[in-house]
Amino acid sequence: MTDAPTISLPQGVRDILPDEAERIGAVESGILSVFARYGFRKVITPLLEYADVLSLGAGAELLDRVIKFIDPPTGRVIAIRPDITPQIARVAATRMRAHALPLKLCYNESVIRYQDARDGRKREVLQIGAEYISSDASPEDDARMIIMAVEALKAVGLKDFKIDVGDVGFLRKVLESHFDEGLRKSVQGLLEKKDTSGLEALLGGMDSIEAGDKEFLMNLATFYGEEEVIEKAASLTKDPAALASLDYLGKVVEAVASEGLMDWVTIDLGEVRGFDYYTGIIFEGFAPGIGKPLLSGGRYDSLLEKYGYPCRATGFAFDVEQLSSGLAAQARR
Amino acid sequence: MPGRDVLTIALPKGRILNEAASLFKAAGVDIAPVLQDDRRLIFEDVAEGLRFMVIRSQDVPTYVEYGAADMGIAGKDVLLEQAKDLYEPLDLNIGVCRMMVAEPVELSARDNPRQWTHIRVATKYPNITLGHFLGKGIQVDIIKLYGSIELAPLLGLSERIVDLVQTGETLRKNGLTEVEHIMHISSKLVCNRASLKTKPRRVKELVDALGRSVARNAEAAAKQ
Repeated sequence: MTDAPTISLPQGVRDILPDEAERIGAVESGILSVFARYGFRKVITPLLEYADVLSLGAGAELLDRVIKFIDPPTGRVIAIRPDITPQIARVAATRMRAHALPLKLCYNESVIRYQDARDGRKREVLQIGAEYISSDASPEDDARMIIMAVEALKAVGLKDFKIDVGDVGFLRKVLESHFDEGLRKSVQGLLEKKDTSGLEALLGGMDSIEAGDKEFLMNLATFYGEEEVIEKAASLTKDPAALASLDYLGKVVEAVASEGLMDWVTIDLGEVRGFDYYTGIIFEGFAPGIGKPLLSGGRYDSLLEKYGYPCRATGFAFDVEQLSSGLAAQARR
Repeated sequence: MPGRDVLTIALPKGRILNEAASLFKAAGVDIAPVLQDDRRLIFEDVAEGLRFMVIRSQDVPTYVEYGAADMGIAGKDVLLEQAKDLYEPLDLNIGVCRMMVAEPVELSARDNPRQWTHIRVATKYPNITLGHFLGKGIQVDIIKLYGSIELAPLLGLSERIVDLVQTGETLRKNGLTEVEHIMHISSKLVCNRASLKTKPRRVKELVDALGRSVARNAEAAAKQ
């Protein structure tokens, strides 16, 4: 036995060799060309940010997973970016005020997130994303991002996929009007698992909620499927704020339908992932046999304000390697 | 396209399998072939568009998380220990038991769990154990074992254990007693996120059908 040094890599990162790099390159250029057709222009943001600046805009769940270190000359804490969207928000707020709204920006970069070592989860995620920053929010804007995601997936040759659309704004209003903060967290946890049995057990014992509302709340975990779940939800509630959200979502769906793309769209009103970060319409892309989402995004109307620029915004990002493996799985079938 | 909408379901080997089979049977799906031949690991019900595989219970969440199976049946103990990102749309109310802390009867006579600050615990469930005690500000040395947990206190490996208990008979036989209840455990129907999103109708049908079986079981139990 010799004591040769082990030439290895830290857990969660990897090399991509020419064959795969070419496949990934093709996916990237396919997506970027769709983005370009919609008028999105690429920006390049730095790998490092001050942790306190980043934490203005990054979601709480992500902040726990940031890799940080102390910058020797200044003693300030520097973070390796775990997400590009807060960077885009910073860029828009501090560098691009002179540009007319809406801003249409896209990017193609890696992010680094601390992951549990288990299961060979990735720490480095290669993303391609687009952000649409505007003075007002409209259902057409949300729909355009969903349409662009569908077109990008078709452009790279994926045939069987669904874009699942939800609305955290709807959920937030429903939860706020029925539960105090502690209980909201529990209900959110149950919804995250679509734990209908748990919801029934929790709500069953609560006398403060009327029977009609109870039925509606217990159903939150089952409002998934095709677009008719929007009507079903609307028929079970009288809450004006919730109805207004459902109406908005209905308009988004209508705009997507007018492009003839509903075969690629499902609805899930009980989806709470990204609850603390997003403010309205959210969406994720899935392909059969690939357990994790290929893309995710949504409306984040409060983010730019945190950087001093009160604008509305919606955006999404592809997990490029996940998408590339979805394409490889499709080729094997 | 043939096979396009088949749902693959991962079932756990062992005592849960029979209970699961009767729930499926009540829902109109006969999975007897997987029960009769324990070397047969995959069984397909073409008419129902269902494919079943029988694997170790600890492997069910992994198969489902990665999408190798669309759905599965897994104990809450396994789900909490592995903390995978899965949907759990239905509590099947089978495999019911409890997760608890136990210690030798003679120790418990002079022991007060509220005064624990640093304890040593043997368990098959290190993550649940760690979460439970750290949540109460108690430091815990965890000894991970793979079976016969009750032996650990008898042989001085640890003072206490965290384990599943159904009747408490095994504990009694080994001179142990329950000192803290951690949680109620039962088996859940779990579902891969992408499967629920890409085959919502199939998933919902199966959840509803099994939900009716579970409700009928509960009614029957209430009558007894």
